[in-house]
Formats: sequence, structure tokens, C-alpha cells
Amino acid sequence: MHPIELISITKRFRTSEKGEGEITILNNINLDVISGQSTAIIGKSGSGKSTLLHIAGGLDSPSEGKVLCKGTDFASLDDKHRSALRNLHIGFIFQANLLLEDFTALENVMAPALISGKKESECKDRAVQLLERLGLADRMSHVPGKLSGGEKQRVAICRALMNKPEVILADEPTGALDEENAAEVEELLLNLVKEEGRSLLLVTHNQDFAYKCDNVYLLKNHGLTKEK
Amino acid sequence: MNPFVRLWSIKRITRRGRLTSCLILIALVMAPLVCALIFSDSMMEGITSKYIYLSDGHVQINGEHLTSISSMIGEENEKLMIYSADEVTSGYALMYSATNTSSVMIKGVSDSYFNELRMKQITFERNTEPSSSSIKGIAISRATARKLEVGLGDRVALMIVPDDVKKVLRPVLVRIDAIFYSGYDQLDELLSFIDIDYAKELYSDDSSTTIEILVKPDYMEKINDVIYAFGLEHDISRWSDHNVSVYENFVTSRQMIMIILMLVVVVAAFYTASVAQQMVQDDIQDIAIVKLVGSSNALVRKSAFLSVYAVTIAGMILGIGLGLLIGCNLGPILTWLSSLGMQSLSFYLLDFSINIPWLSIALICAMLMIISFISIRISLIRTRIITPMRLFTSL
Repeated sequence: MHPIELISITKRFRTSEKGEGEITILNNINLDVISGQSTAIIGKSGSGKSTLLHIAGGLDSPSEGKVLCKGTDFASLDDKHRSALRNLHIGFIFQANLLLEDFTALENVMAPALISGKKESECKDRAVQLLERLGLADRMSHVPGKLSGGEKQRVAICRALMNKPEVILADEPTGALDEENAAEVEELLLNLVKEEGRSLLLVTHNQDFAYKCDNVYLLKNHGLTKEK
Repeated sequence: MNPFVRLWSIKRITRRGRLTSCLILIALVMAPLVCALIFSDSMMEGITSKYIYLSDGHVQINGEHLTSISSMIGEENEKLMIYSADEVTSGYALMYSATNTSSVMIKGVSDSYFNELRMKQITFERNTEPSSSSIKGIAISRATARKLEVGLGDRVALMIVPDDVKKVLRPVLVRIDAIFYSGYDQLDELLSFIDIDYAKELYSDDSSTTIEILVKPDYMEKINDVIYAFGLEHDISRWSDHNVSVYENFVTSRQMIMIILMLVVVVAAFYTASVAQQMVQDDIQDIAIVKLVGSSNALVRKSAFLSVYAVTIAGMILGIGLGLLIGCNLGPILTWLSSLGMQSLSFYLLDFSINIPWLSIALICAMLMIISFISIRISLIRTRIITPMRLFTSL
């Protein structure tokens, strides 16, 4: 059983609010995110890479097809169980770091564990350990407003890994960083995923970053083709 | 409680802004409400006491039963829960001075009438100069003395309204031996006291004499028992029967005050729902992020509810505290306002014992809590439509 399986995924969007016309973004896509491997999806802007990632993470629903997470169809779950599945088995990293502005770096990292019901004392050690590994030992009590772009993204990576999810979904994680920071975050992400034995589904237009992954797919003309 | 719900709620509460304003507003609404309840309750209790102790007693029994009642009173006092029973002869008169006229009720009482309980309700300023004339003395109120422009030792004329139409109206002269003040001018200006024997000369009709009974403080709630103990239910009246309009005014005022206060509380409770709604609007991004990292909508709602409800309760407690603080110091505040020349205060007591209406306060609090509980929950249904996809559609 793969951490995430996309089966015959099609996604169409209405072209107007009245629903008179539709355009197809993804057409009959099949993809398995293999356990312990990193997979990258590349493609031009607007090709539907992010949409595919949102569907894989259960954030958006496909027009047709199924998304299985640990063998469970997202569509068959209610809000509570879908959220729990996302909380425990999927970590998200986005171009915009999407941190809670009122929370410190440490609290942001602990958030997924606290949501799952763990006490602060139970999850603090792991959060501290992750932040230290990513060089943020002296930034733990800082709120996102006091962190640089690279630091925020590293906090987001720590948060994604907090609950030891089986799969990390990353959408242009280095897109908003300068070259130096981007290279650093790329290396950290890939190393951490490998060290922690997680799967990675990466969406990027950065081919160098993509080809560091075990598998590379090109999203073109609404379909996927394997490049590596 | 989920640790994240607790942490998020604390973050929201400690963030200065909308919730702080909500806390302050609820406190500012509750404080005057509590204060108004204390004021109205204490004032009504105080005025009721004035009527009972100085005008009508807890229970009045027709004078024709004087002989039978007298035999029951005395040794039986303890059993009958009676504090005192005094014979009173009363009637109406017009009082004249050189400059003005006033209509008063003349109460003929004996020296024992002003017992300890009554003396707590009234203060006397007495004429210490002995009189050589045979003119009888009278005690008039400070309000009447002011109106008639007379003082201690002055003489006034009483035009006794006869109880028999065949009798001729005749004025009698009396000397002001005492001026009293109960703190409630509205009652004071109607009352005056003379010796009971002289009152019997002025009002010879039997129906002018009654027995005023004061019940022991512990038995005030059991006045009906006292009435039945006498076995004279049909010839007994209470202060509320003699002062129907005052009594009904009090009952209506109490009801109106409660209705108005409850309406204010309802508005305050709905305000909390609007705060909750606005808070959700402000926190759309945070809610979407929290859902992204795996929170269910129920957790989001719980946290938002906890934040607003905790602030509502805190505001309510703060408001009650403030209201009690001001309410318990109403006497000095009213006296100070009166010293500034607020004429309308003459309709109120300026010195009264504070009575905290815990039941009414509890009722208002319960109402605020229940309505805000329901309205906040309803307003938070909206969190359901905030999904993590909001983060990407709005970016």
C-alpha cells in the first residue's frame, strides 16, 4: 500500500460562475507516491501541478477519480476523519510559508502534534530537536514576523515533519527564497526526508531541484509522463 | 480539552484588539445593570420600610378589636411573632402657617410608639425650651416645616377635617415641639405626630383608631401567619392596602426594570455573537492554516467559541465586580450628587441600607450566558466554509 495513490484523476474547472463552460486541467492521471522515495512533478506555470498536489493532499477534490491515502479514499471520509488523516500522515510545505503569526516558531512547529491531542510536554522535545537540526535553536521563541524568509521556510519544514508523516507534499518550497537560501532549504528538505525515511511529492518548476529526486514526472497537456 | 484549542484561545484572548473591546464593553454593560438592580432594590426596600415603620405598620387591625387584641398581646407576643403593637388614632388635617398651607395626616401616638426599630428610620430635632402655655405639641417633618416656613417652637393652625358632616370645621393651634426627618421627603411631608389622647379628642370616631403591628424581623416573610393567628383576616390590612398606588408602582417598576435590563443583556449577548463573527473574518487565514495542518472544523469552532465565551464571562464577572463596588457605595454617591443640587434626588432616599439582589443578578448573568452561548455557536457555523483552499485562492 502506497502512502498516496492517485487513480484516474480528472479535474475540471468551470469557466464562469453560472457553470456554462468547463476546462480540463488534469485528465485521467495515475500516480503512486512510493514509500521512502522522493517524487517531483515539473511543468510549466498553469499546467496544474499545484492543483494535482492539492488533490493528492485531500485539500481539493477531483472531478473524477479517487485519491487513496494509506488505502483510504479521501472522498469517503467526513471532515473529522479527513482532517485526522491529513494531520497524521501528510506534511505540507508551500511557497508561502503559511505560519500562524501569533505563534512562536516553536509553537508553530508543535501545532500539528497539539492538534492531534498530544500534550505540550510530549511534543516539545521533538519540535526543539527539529528546529535545532535546521539551525533555528536561537529562533524558537520568535514569532514569524521576526524571522527571515529562509528561517520561516525552515520552520514550515519542521512543522511538516513534526508528526512524522509518511509523506511530505511540497509546492515550490524554495520559490520565494534567494538562491543561497533556496539551495540550503533544498538540501535540508531532501536530507531530512531521507533521514526520516519519508516520501516526498514535490511540485516545482526548478528542474535542478526536481532531478535530485528519485522520480520525476512532467505534467503536460493535462497528463503525466515519467521523465526519470 | 485539546491542547491546541487551549493554546490558540489564549493567543486570541491575549492579542489586544477586538476581544479586549468585547471584554470592556460587556463589563461596562454589566456594571450599570448590577448597579441599577442594587439601587432599585435597595431604594424600594428602603421606601417600603419607611411606609411600614412610620405610616402603616406591617399589619393594621381595626380599632374595634382593641380589647380582644390587647388581651392577646403581651405575654403572647413571642408566640404571635409580634415585635410591637401600638394603638394609633389618625385623621387628616390642613396645616396653616402665616405663609403657607399643607395637607397632612395627623397620627396620634403614645411615647412607646417610637421604639428601637422605628427610631432607626427617623431622626428628631426637639424643642428643649419648656412651654408655659396649654397649647399641645406636634411633630412635623422637615419637608413640611420647610414648606410652611416654620421652625421649632412656632405655632401652626390645624383645620381638622371632621369625620361627621354635621360637625363644624374648627381650627386648633398647635406648637411645633419636634421636627423629624426620615430621609424620604415624599412620605415625610404627609406625616405629623401628636399625642394619642389629644388625637382622640380631635378624631372621636372609632374608625379613626387602629392598632399598628410590627412583626419581628425574622418573621417578615410570614405575615400571613400572623394575620391568621389573630383570626381576624377580614379586619386586617397591610401597608400595601393603604398605599395601593405606591405598592403597585413598586411592583410595576421592579418588573419594568427587569424587562429593560434583560433587553440590554440580550443586546449585549448578540454583540458577542457579532464579535465572534468578526473574529472569524479576521482569522480566515489562520483558520485555513490550522485546517491545512490537520485540524477539524469542530476544533476550530471550539477554539473560537472558547475565546469569545471566556472573554464574555470575564467581562461579565468584571462588570459584576464593578457594579457591586459602585452599588455598595451608592449612599455616599447619591449624597454627593444631592450636594451638587440635583433636585430629582428628593424623590429618593439618600440614606438606605444596601440590599444586593443576588437572584436578579444571577438571572441576568444566566441570561447573558445562555443567549451568548447560543448566538456565538450559531455565528461560528460559518467556519465550516473556510477550507485550506482559501489560502491558495486568495494568494
